[in-house]
Amino acid sequence: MERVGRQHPVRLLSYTTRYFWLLIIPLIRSLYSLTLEIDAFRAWIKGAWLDLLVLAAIICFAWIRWLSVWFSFDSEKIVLRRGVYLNVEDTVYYSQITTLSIKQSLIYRLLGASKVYIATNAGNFNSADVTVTMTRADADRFYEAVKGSRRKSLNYSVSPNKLRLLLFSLLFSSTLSGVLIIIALLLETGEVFDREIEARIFLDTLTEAVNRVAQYLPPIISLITIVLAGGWALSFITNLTGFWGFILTKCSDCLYVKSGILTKSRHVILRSKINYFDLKQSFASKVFNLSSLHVNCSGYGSTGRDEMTVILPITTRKEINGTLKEVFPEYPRPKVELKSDPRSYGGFYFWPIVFAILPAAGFIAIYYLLPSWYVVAYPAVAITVIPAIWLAMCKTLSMFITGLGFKDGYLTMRYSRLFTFHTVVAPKDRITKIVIRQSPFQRMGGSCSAAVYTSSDVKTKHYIYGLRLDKALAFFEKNGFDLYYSEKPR
Amino acid sequence: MRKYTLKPAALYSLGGAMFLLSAAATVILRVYLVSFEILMYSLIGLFWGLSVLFGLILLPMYFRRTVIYISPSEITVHTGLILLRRIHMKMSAVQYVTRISAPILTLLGFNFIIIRALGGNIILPFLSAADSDSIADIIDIEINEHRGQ
Repeated sequence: MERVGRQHPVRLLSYTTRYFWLLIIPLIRSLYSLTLEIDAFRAWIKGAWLDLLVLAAIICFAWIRWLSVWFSFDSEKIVLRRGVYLNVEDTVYYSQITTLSIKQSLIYRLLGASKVYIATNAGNFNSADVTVTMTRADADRFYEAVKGSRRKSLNYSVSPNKLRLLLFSLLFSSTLSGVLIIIALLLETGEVFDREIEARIFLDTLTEAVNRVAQYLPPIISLITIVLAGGWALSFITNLTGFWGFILTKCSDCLYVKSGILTKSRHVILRSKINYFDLKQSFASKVFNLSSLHVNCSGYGSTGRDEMTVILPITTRKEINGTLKEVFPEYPRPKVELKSDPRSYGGFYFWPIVFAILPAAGFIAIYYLLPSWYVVAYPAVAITVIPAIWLAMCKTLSMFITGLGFKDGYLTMRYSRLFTFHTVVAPKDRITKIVIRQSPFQRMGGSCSAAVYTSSDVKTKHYIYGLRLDKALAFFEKNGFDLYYSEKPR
Repeated sequence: MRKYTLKPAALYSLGGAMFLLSAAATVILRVYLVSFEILMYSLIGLFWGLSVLFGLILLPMYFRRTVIYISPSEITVHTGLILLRRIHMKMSAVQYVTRISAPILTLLGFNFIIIRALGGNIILPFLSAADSDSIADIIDIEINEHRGQ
């Protein structure tokens, strides 16, 4: 049965420009401060008539845009029509949908709205091909329609233990990701509100917090403490609320993922369109043998700033192995057969050394050129050198695990990128490109680096450092990727 | 497997253009910066130094080192200047091909082919017009064959 409908009226807000907010806030504030007299109201109208006119035009334009968008869906396809003068119609068949995501933020839930993201292997890079804001009832009907088009054979369902999730979120939330969320939040807010207002709110809050803590600690230490603690707390809250109630269900052709308490998300992922899975670990989780399972599939993890590609949040290796066996039975267990060469171990420390030298050089320059800044520079250098030391530790561990493996038509890649360890398993037909690279130093030692590009919305490169050149070329040739190694570069 | 190299005419024209640019820069600098002798000679030296470095050393090295291998199942490129690279792409991964050429420059080897796959590209630069046609034809046949399978 076909269902035809318009988007939820909340969509009107996103069709207004940011000037709408710049106009409406002072207008409401001045209206609120008026006395209950007709003369005062007349004076207000006289002063604000142009603002009111612009406001009305913005609302009118948004309303026309909202009216011009229609959607209809049945048991096999969704059609989205839009445009005032020029009509554009998108038809997406459910069989081509790689990922369907339905998200409800706290505000959307209160208003009874849902945001629907539809992604296929064609169209926009790193974003959904079609995005519609539906009423909750329409979104539920559409979800059921897509679900109805998939095979009905429930095989396996997994949900992380809540207590363990709380504990792991406490232990492994990172300050860096928290700070990144703050930056993303500020940038997003800046799209709506004025940058000056946004900067003032942020700086005022930060200054107030620093002043309070400064009663007990020196100002520079209090600022660092607040940034670190605030970043960590935000990362913790995002992890916990994002993964609370997480359920992964596997059917013969699909994966269903549900999660979140503040923002509720539902995803339907077509298994045959998954490009690879990735076991991600931080240094700490590597030591404790914990990891999180991610997948790369067009449209999954690209619907918002806090969206991740995870299908099983951080948990024990045993649970991950069980899930891999159930969810990806055709994939072999990740095993590395070609490891990085001990002669290239020195190269693993290149970036940690660069990151340590730069702040040290800056400190020496400040020490001689601006001696009065020494007090500020000293703790700043100490803080900036810590990540370099941490990176050196990660790279030390990375030296022993980096490598490649191939089994049953699947390529395993183990490597680290900055502070994260990856174990990627990709089917051979999802390998887009292989680049074997040799720097002059590597040429002297007979080693190389392999960059493996996999099918993806965006350029996705897996960089395996420090392999023996002859072994790497023989490995790829043996597995059907002929790099013409007998033909030496001239 | 077919083997292609870059067209030397493109190298000669690039080198020639660099030396012409340096000569033109020398004239302009000698007219307008005559009162700042040190700066003038430094800039002239820089222009000619870069021309010699690129025109006589780096570009010839790049042209000599770049070899393209096309077989029915894969595309392989050996290239690089300081960093040597062996690039490999399966024919089955190719989504589409972009050809870039200009009316007169095509005779000098300024024909480029960009092979696009989901998640990565390969650029085949400075091909002769015949090589460009031949590569595009091979890829076209192979893509159609893969689609037919």
